[in-house]
Amino acid sequence: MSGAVAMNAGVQSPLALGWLRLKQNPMAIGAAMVTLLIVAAAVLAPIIAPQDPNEADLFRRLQPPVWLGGEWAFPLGCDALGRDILSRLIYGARISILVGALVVLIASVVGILAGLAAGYLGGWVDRVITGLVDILLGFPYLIFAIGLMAMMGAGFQNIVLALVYKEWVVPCRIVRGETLAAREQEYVEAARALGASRGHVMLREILPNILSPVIVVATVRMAHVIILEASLSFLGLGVQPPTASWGSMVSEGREFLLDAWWVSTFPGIAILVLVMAINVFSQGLRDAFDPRMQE
Amino acid sequence: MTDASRTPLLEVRGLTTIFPTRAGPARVVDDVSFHVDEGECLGVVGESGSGKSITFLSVLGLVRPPGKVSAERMMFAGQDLLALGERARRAIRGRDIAITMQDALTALNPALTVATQITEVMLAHDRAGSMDEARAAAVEMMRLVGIPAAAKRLDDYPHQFSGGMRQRIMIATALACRPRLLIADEPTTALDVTIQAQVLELIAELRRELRMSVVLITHDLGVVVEQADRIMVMYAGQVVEEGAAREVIEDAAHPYTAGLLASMPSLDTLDRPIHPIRGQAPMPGPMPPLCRFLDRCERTTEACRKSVPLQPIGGGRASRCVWAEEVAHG
Repeated sequence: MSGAVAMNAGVQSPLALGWLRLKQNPMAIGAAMVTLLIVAAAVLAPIIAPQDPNEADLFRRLQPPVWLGGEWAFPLGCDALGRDILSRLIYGARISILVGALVVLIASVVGILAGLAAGYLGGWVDRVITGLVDILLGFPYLIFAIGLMAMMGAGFQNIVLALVYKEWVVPCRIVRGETLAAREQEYVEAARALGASRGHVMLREILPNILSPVIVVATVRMAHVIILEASLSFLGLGVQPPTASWGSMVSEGREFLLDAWWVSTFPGIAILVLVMAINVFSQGLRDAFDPRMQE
Repeated sequence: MTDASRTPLLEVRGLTTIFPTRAGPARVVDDVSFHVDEGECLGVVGESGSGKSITFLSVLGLVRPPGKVSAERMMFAGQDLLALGERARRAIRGRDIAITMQDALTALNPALTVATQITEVMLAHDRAGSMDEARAAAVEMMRLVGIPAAAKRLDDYPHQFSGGMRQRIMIATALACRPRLLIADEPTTALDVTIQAQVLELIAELRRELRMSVVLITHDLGVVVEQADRIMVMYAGQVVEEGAAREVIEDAAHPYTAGLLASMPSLDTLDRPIHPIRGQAPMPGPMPPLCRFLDRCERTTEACRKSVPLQPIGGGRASRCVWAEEVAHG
């Protein structure tokens, strides 16, 4: 296998080479598959969920999982309103993944543009952007998000916004730093000498060279954002009931932890598994794509 | 045609580029005047830090703040470069005046294919209507600079080419729009001797073929002797000597040029020892109003302790030395 990599090294783009290295990392591939499985479950929720996630029936209140005397129709048991936990988990994955992906995507686009502008243009543009970044860094993330949610009100759109407001700082700082290094490279000077505009230099010359650390960090941040969303939902500031979200499910079960541990535990495990899978995968990405990790 | 009736392609007068340093403003290009005629090759010689590259970056408008560029006159093909806005200056770069950077190994973008890098210049300057047209032209350019199997290698990345090939590709990107003036900044520094000769021959050939003017920036007098029509020698930001290439080489009229020549090994005079110039070029910074070569010169006298202007010494030549006549004929 490694022989094949060496032979192909002559005819592959850096991206293709990284992909080749990634494919040889079993941990990363395993983690990617777990993540994909959860994503697939979220996408296919209406088809694969055994029950309606919002159908309550007080006769099933706190019904235990099937191996503790429950019934097969509700394999992981029911919550305090008698709703099927497995179905709620499957639907809850949609919120976690959608919030994670959207926040990281929007924050990356904003952060990349701001970071490029700050790093390449310098001057007052840089001072304004770094000033803003420093101010935002001064707030603890969760407190900042709680404050914003309190002002804007709960709801899916507001969670995404509240998290993006702070999340863009992360890619922005990375991109700014990488841009500061890249702008001194001779190929940037060469592009300018051939008549390239500033926008062209930033987006077409510098960006392709600094993209891989941004992508790697974006995946780590996705795990982070998923936890934040769960925390907000846990505090009741997330998606509003009855919509299922893992964070609110943990919260709903905490009164019954001693009698009906399954209500909180399963969504907790779901958060743990998803976040860990994403983290392991992004570790693999870093090993494969970060040029500084090579050799 | 007499000199007076001929308008040069590029004419620069009184070009000064200043960078602030801790010690005060450094005039890294100090009152430099020169011209490049149509189809001519001007050799610019000087050691590292003498201001050769920055002179031409200044002409192109590529000096970034805090560097400050000023000039009395800067004309290119009848256009006043000083009067042009940034957008118009940019349109000239790459299309009419192209520059190849010192180090071909780093001057190509590692993340883009060669095709992208050559076609982008053409598309940016509207020299190609479509991507297909641009790619066809890129293949032609790569063939022109002597890259074997050009069509096949179009979508390769820079790291898949050898040093000499990368230098050729950089020349291809610079020539993509058929500029009227090519500024070749140390085109051979990163290459070994056999490849050096090939690249120089290539530039000479393209110059004839595309009828363009060339400015050849180098610290290697040997390179200049073979290629250039005229030579401009720079030292510490100033032009210290200029004239027809052969005359300057045979008969240097400034001690610095003479020193450069004496420090060059030659096959004809293997028995003669090489004479390095003693001392070091001054650090950039504010300079006293003295001859800048003063403390390295072997002819220093009281008469040298003043600011020496660049003076014509006949035959289209000029020297910035009090003892020009004596140096040339002594």
